Amino acid sequence: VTRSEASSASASASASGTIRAVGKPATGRLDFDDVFSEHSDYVIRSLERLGVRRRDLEDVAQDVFVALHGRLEGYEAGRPIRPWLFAFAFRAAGNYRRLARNRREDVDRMGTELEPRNDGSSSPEDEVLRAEQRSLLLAALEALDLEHRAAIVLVDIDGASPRDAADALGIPVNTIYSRVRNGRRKLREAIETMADGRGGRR
Amino acid sequence: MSEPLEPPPDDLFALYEGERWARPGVEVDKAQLLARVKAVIGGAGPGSGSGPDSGSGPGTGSETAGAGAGAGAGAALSGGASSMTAALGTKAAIAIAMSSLAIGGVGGAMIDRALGPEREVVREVVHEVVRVEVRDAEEAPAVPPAPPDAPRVEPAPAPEGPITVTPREERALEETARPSTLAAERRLLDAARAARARGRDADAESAIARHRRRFPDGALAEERDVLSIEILVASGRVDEARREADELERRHPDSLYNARIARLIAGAERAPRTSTPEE
Repeated sequence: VTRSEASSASASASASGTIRAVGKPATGRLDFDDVFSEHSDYVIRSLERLGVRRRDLEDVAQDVFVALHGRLEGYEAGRPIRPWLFAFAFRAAGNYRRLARNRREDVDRMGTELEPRNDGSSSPEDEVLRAEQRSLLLAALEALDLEHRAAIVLVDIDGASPRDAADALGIPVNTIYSRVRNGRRKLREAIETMADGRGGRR
Repeated sequence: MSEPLEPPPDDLFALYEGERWARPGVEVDKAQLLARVKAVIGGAGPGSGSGPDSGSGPGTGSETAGAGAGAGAGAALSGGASSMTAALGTKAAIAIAMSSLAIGGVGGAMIDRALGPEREVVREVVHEVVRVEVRDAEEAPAVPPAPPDAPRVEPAPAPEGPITVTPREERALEETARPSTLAAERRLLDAARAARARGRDADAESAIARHRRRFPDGALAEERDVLSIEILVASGRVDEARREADELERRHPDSLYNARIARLIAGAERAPRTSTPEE
């Protein structure tokens, strides 16, 4: 409709300090505060998807941003920023899970922690539905090891290209392909198992 | 080069879809987080205007009105199949699961299989739930928008939000100050997604059209265009989807979404919507 007006002016949004959510900043030099304010949600969400328990999110996010702060130079101008950020989250989630106490012995963590969030734009029922759907996916992701999980999250959920994902994680693109494929299969199996459990009588 | 990755199968795709736009499941205090980070990295100079306010970038969830709405339901519902079912009673829980999964099909189908004879009863419950929601949505007076960027200490009185944004709401949103622009944008897109999740594509498209009119170059313009393309593909209008995708790629050649959109469209072209791609 007004698509033509919506042209390249999107760059002006960046001028006001907004690094576009999925785009890239105009210059190579990243400003830490900008990165934090624009992408802290993405980082936190990624950690959550990588299996960091909700009560630990803030701690692990702190680790991510501290690490990131020392590596701003490592960001290559012109590359999409999210996969680059994701790699930090991936490493932090790996460290987190290596600590024995954080191994996933409490598989039903979702059961006690997920609650609908409402911003007033949708009915409580909507929020409940969304929370339930998220809960299903996040619980199913628990069935995957971190590598497969990361591939699914970065490529399938975030929509990163396999090439960008491979570069960010420092692995061959063929490995990304196979991790995504295997990850999907495992994910589906987990969902089916959960749905069977859910539908069954008790 | 090995062969490119197939698009995800429809059932997973639907779940991804909901997750992609989800806000974090818990509210992390950004100001506190930033303060902690800065404490570790040594203050990083006072140049940081990053007080509590600048902590809220796009999608910070600053629009969240606390857990007020449906918090009761939330606590009970909180997820894991067993606790949810126990708290709600099997039928209600399954009804909710089914309707939430209706777009994906997989959950519905699987639950169908597992349910057997109870299926019809559950279907009725689902329909009842949907009817009630629709009625609520239609009858609800135009609710004043939750103050978008207000500190969300007190649980807002949980408006029964209609799934579309009424003109009155829009005006109210417009009158509010600048910082709420993002919230207004997000609200429209949330409305579009909520409508879509209920299979009301027309409502979704109208919310998208309104976003396009009001925020042609908004901070969430790219998200909007992607959502629009996804709806077009889902409803089989592949040609339109391709046109929009070309436009999106022209405007944002580096968008992370381009690859995904290309896969999505390629998948739609290869197979009609009804068959799921082979794994």
